[in-house]
Amino acid sequence: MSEDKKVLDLEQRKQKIFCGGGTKAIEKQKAMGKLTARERIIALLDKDTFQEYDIFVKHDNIDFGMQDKDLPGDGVIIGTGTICGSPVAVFAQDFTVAGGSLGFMHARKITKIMDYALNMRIPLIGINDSGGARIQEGVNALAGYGEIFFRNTLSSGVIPQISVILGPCAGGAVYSPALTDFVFVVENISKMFITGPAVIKTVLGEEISDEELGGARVHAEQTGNAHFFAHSEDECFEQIRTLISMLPANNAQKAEKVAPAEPLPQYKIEDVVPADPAQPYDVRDVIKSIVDDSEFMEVMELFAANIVVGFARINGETVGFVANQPLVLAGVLDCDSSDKAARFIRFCDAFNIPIITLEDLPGYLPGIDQEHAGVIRHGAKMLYAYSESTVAKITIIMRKAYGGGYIAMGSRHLRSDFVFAWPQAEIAVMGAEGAANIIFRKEIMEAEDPKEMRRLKIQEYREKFANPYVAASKGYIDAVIAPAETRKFIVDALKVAASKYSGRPKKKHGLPPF
Amino acid sequence: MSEKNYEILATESGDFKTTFNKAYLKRKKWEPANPKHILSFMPGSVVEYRVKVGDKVKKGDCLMTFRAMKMNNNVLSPRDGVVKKIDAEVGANVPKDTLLIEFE
Repeated sequence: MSEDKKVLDLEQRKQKIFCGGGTKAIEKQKAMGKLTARERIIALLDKDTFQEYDIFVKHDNIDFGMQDKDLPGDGVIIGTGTICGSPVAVFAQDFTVAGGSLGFMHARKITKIMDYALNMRIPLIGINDSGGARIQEGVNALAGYGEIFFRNTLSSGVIPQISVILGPCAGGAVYSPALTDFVFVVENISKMFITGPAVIKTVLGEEISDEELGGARVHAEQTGNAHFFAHSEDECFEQIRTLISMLPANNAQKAEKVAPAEPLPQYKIEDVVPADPAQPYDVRDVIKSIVDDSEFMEVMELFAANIVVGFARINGETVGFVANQPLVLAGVLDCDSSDKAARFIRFCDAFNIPIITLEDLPGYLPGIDQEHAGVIRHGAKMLYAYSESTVAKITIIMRKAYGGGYIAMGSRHLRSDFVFAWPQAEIAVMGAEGAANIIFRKEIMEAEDPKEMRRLKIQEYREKFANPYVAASKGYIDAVIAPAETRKFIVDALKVAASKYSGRPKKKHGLPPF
Repeated sequence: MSEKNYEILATESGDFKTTFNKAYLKRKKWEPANPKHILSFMPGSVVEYRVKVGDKVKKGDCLMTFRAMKMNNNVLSPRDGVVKKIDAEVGANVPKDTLLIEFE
């Protein structure tokens, strides 16, 4: 063959593989409202940046008639590209090829790109759309999953790892996403479960649809397995691009600084928070009144909404917010909100993202169900995460900071670098009503008018302790600031903390209460 | 959001106006365990009862063979007592915490 013919031959070979599972399978994929694996990668990455590797990889299984089966790319596409100019590694399972089933070579392509990502210190994005293990390959398929899990763990905290669930992801396959940092799901498309509806029906006789069992909404709202929920694949890719643009490529870098911008004028911090500590408000409006362009990328928006976590920029620098949400469950801490915050704090710490805590909570959620669900060990995760983290930590006490909640929410005692309180902050062991009832129980009981005495004692306690000045007198908070000064204090603190050093005792690893 | 939509959450630090999320509304109400009830400890099915209504059993006696996750388990009586009622049919798949036997 001449040179030209060889190039033509290459093109023909490639075109054949680009057809994936063939027209019929692609039609089926489209009928489910899904893009093909290659289309997904193209939609996700910057235009014309995708470089595909291992196009010609073939499986070598000869059992159960597999020797006659040609599976283009072995059902998975891998390669590199850029998002907003930053390099990323990506794989996408191709459901049109043998249902995206994972065999030995399929897994080897995935682990190859995972190794690339780790060695190049660039983020990894995995698009999952697979019926599960390729049963014909037996234990080789299982080995493949194990090799993936091991690499997820090895890369954890070194490069950001993102999982996108765009189809079924069942059985062992779900544990790779679960080991990664952020899981993206799309309504009506994503399905995740360990044992599917068929098994549950056989074993238990209970009927449930795959959407009800492990659909996008279930994982975004109920289980906490998913971090981002979208209504379409396009919206999902846009979310991923925004997230990637705010993160560093690896744990040795800081997120790229962009041009600073002021918050939008319609967000006025002093108008958001009501004076009465029993009145709710949306803490996201406080965040928007502080951050550049009032843009906030919320993580796990639908799960444990009593705490708000997410990314924004301040003065051009990426920061992570952890904020009590008085609008939901009065912003209390409980099992789910502690887990959510702890995980987010650890991500920020691993990737050099300063943590800003906005505090306004009455304490922990009282309840038998909470105690029995292990609120002690779940709550401890958050204490651990705050104490362990060495990035710059800035805490703003806005209103209520009572009891255990005061300690947990990035207090000075857990080594926040800067703790600021607003003048209306109430830093006390509990709310004035509860405290007065205990301290002055006898006086109230014995008074001629117990109701009036109670009112007076609540007022006395409130005047004495329900303010930031007792804590300020001990140096537990660094400054009492007007709400309108909040952004300026944070900007200045971030500048000071840019060269923060934090030595810690040497150990193999700590033992957080997993 | 208008004022009337708020719920009141009672905490030890006082009452607060707020909204409730799904998880909170769906939380399970605690009930004390009934010592006279034998419940399924896992989803599965009764293979065979070793007792019948009216039998006097001693703590440690085998009440039934219960099959769960492809394993046969002997379910031993946690107490002395008289079997009052057998609730689950042999062979029927039952979820976790289903009433199997009641004592008098």
